[in-house]
Amino acid sequence: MHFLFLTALKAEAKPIISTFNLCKNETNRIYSKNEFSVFITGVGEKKTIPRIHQLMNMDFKWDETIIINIGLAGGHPNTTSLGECYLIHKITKESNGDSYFPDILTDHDWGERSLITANKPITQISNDYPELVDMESAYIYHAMQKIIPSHRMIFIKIVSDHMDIINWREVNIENLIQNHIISIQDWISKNEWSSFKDRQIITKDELNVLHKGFAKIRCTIAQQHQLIDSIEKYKKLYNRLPNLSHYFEQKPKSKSERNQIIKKIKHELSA
Amino acid sequence: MSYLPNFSHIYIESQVKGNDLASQCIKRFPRAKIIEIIDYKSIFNRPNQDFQTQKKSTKLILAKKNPPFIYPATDILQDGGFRNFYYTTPVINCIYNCDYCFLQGMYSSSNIVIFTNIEDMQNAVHEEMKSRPFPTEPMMLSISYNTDILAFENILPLTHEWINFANNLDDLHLEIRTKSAQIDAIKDIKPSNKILLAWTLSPDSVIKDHEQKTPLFQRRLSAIQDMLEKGWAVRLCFDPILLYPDWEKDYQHMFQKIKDNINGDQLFDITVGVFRMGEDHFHRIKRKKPDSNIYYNKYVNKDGILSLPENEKDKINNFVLENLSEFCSKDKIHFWM
Repeated sequence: MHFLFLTALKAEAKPIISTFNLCKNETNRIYSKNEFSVFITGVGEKKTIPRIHQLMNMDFKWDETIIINIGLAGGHPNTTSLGECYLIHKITKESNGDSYFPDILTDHDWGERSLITANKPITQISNDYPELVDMESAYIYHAMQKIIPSHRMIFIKIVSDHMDIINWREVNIENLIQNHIISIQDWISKNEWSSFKDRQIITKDELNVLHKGFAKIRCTIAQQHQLIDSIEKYKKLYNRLPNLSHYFEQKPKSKSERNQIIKKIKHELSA
Repeated sequence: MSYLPNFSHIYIESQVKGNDLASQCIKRFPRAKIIEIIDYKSIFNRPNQDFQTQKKSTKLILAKKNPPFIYPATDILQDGGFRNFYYTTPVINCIYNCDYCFLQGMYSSSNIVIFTNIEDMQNAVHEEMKSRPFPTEPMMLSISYNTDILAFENILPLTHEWINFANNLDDLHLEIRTKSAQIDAIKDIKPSNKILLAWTLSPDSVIKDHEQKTPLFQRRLSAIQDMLEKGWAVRLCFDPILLYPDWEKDYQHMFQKIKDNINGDQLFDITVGVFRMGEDHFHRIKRKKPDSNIYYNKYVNKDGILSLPENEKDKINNFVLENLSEFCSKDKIHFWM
């Protein structure tokens, strides 16, 4: 499983970078090592949306990636405690009232709260913000739901203030995150996460080999789909791929020759 | 870390807060996180959900149903000879997880929606009864088309509620299709031949391989015996009969146990079916690469329904008749092939 942390600020990312010994890739500005990465989105709608789209165009194994947005949030004093870490079960975009619900399927030790993604920093306590408030989560969920399923999006917020911050310089951002990094690390190190990958019958590596073969015999896209379907069926029934390499040895000289090869493959698979 | 238990989260529409059924449900799960929502579709119809992954920790959604409240039966549903045949959906989705179930293709989420405005549904049934196409014949209403409602009875007494409702209306019959063995919840109700308890039965090998979380055969059989003794109308459903190596042996064994324990003459009827599914649902399930082999067998597409080839259907048909024709009269055995 690949865990991709998203933070709004570099200061929020620092404890993650040091905990997982991540190194920066200067081309795409992603910090990564093994199955962990960090990407910094920037603060608020204007910075987050283009950065997330940039991220989505990067070449990741999205079918086995879990997004974890970690960041500071303002909290209502009646429902949250300063410095406390919460898992988010509902995100509402203040600008249009749309709500998003990350699936919470695994056990955890934190409290759960709902969160409102506001357009501007909230500096006054109000019942309009009954639990938590930030400036990025809804934009992240909205964009990423196109490629990441709801059970692979996690939002973890740490309360930095009770919507009463006057001077942000007085907030020790790194420390607030650092205090919870061990519990987060423990949580994501469990085996259950591996069952959250997209289910596959033919692995990516197997698919690459097959595509090379298909290219050699110049299959059309429709023919490729048909063959993949039959090969999946075969693998499901026999628990192994069929040996088709001999069909891919020679380039066909004509369409009809190619169609003959495909017919033979289909015949072999259905038999 | 482990998966959260089912119903760790209850999503409730603001408009049903305080509703009797909703309150009962919340009381039933005192440790659940209650999350208020505007419209159940905002969570149930989210894009990019995974039905099978959500089955690891199913959530509950309490909502108000909007019309239509009842629907005429589809071609895939067995009508059992009733010409005024309808279904209603008091609950969407099921606590069980059967490999061959169409719900995986019908809905993008496996979370369970309970519609708490049961009175609206019952009023709609009242109205529909007045305009049913065959007015001299009773109306048959299936209340477990999109769920196994009896399996839900220890969560909410919906079956109980519907049976009481039907018992007060002369021409309303109910079909309650189930794999559950939870009959205690309805044992106190006076048996009525208007209420058809339809048990789906499969050999234990099929239950273990394809009917996750359902009671084993013996528990279902004991429930059936119990209800027959009390005088309830019972239908046995062998639907779907699945084909696999040595399937005959397993089914023969199951039929023998049934014959040894039940008097066939006491049954309302028997229905027999094979795997069948609308092509849209089938392909939607297959795109998610299900673990089950069922979606990789050879099927024939006839008018948009994928099912077994005719020769295999015939094989099943003959096999069932051979095994059950002396158990009850042939005209009580209905095939849905």
